[in-house]
Amino acid sequence: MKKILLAEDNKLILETVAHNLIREGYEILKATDGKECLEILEHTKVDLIITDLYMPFINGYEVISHLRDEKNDKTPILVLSAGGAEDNVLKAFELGADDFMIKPFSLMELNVRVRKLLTMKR
Amino acid sequence: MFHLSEHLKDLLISFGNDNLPIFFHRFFIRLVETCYNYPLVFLFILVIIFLVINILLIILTLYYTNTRKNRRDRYFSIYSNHYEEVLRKYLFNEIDWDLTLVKLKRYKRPLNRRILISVLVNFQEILRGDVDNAMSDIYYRLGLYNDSIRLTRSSRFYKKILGFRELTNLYPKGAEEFIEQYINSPDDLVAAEAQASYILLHPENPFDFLKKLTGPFTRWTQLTAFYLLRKHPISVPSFAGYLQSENRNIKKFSLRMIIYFQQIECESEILKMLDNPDETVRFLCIQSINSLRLFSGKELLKNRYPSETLKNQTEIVKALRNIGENEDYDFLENIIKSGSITLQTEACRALYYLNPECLDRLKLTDPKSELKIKQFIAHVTDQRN
Repeated sequence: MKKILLAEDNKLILETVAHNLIREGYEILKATDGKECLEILEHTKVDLIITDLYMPFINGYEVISHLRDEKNDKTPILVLSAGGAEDNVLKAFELGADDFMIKPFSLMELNVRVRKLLTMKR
Repeated sequence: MFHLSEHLKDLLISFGNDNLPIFFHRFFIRLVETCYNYPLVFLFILVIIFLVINILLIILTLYYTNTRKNRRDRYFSIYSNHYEEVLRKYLFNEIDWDLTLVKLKRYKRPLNRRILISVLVNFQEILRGDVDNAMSDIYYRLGLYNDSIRLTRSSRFYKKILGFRELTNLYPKGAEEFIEQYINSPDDLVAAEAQASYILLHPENPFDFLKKLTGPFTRWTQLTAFYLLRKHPISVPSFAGYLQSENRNIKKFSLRMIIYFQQIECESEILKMLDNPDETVRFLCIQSINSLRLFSGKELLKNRYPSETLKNQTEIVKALRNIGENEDYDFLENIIKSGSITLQTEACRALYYLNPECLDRLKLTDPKSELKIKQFIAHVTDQRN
């Protein structure tokens, strides 16, 4: 079973996306901030990371940058953020994100993107 | 005064003698006498007692309101989580509608209906697609729109605004019926919210309300309108028609939108705005001519130049940098020779970008100004400017 780490500080989004992905047959790990996200990644290998950009303690940019630059981790990263301004999207991609979805988002579209990212990894 | 207080003392003592039990009687008499012998001490004690009672009352009130608020927050949080859970299951077809109604405990209570509406709005804010429609469907089926309509009738502006938002997001058809009547509300905040709702409710003609607007079109609403245009799938109308409005804020907003969306088809209407009595409208009009590269407006700008304010003159010179041609060199040279420092700098910049050789010619024809022109060129070519 593919393992997905979901980092999101909005509980409603966290639970809804997790519920949706569990139904799709994935194992979900949840983090409510960037710090917790990195802590989980210290001892767990995941197949995909879905992260928000604006979270407490450590934001999404820092998470991506930490994984790509310091850990040299190639795990696919999908950014799920309300900050859909061009600058945010470009910055996320420059840091190493693989995909970007703007809130509000469609769950069906999310499922397709998740499948695609996991396939690309394989 | 003295007699009165003596009389009161006698009354108190006789009251003590007649009514109080023996064990309290002596203490009471001593207290009365002490108070009359040392009135200042008595007054001081009274003040202290008054203050202590006051502090106690404040502490009790704070404790009560705090406890009430915490209890309400806890209640809100428990039911929010519960409703989110139930609605999530319903959205993913894990339970049917009847079971959903059973699980939505206490949803008929006013506070719970408020909680349920806020959960629905939260769901709608983060998700789109089928889920979006499902939220509106639940809102309608449970008759929650009645609660929102009731809010819009409230005399308090924040309740009205909350009602508008709920209806606009979850029951657009219902909101359309009455939102128009609030567009010209005497309360600016209510009017601003109604105008924003109108834009969302009429994605095909989002700015039709401007034709009926009698009140101000505030800067805040203008920013909100622009934000909504960018965030939602709303069709952008041609703003040329709104330039005829008598409201100068609508004119300014329309010109800004024409610039942002590069509506070159509004050319003739933009040029007419050059004669507008409002300085800022003319300023934005000059900016439009510059941004849209309306070469047909160049001569009009040059003709207007002498009668314009310094701010607008500067903008005209800036525009000539983009729409100027060989025939405008003399015009710009004259400004360099006689204008203010700001105008000279901008004219120099315009000439430099149009044809730098022209500046060399200027140095030759007027050797005295050579040093000055060199300084201008240094300023213009400096990357920091």
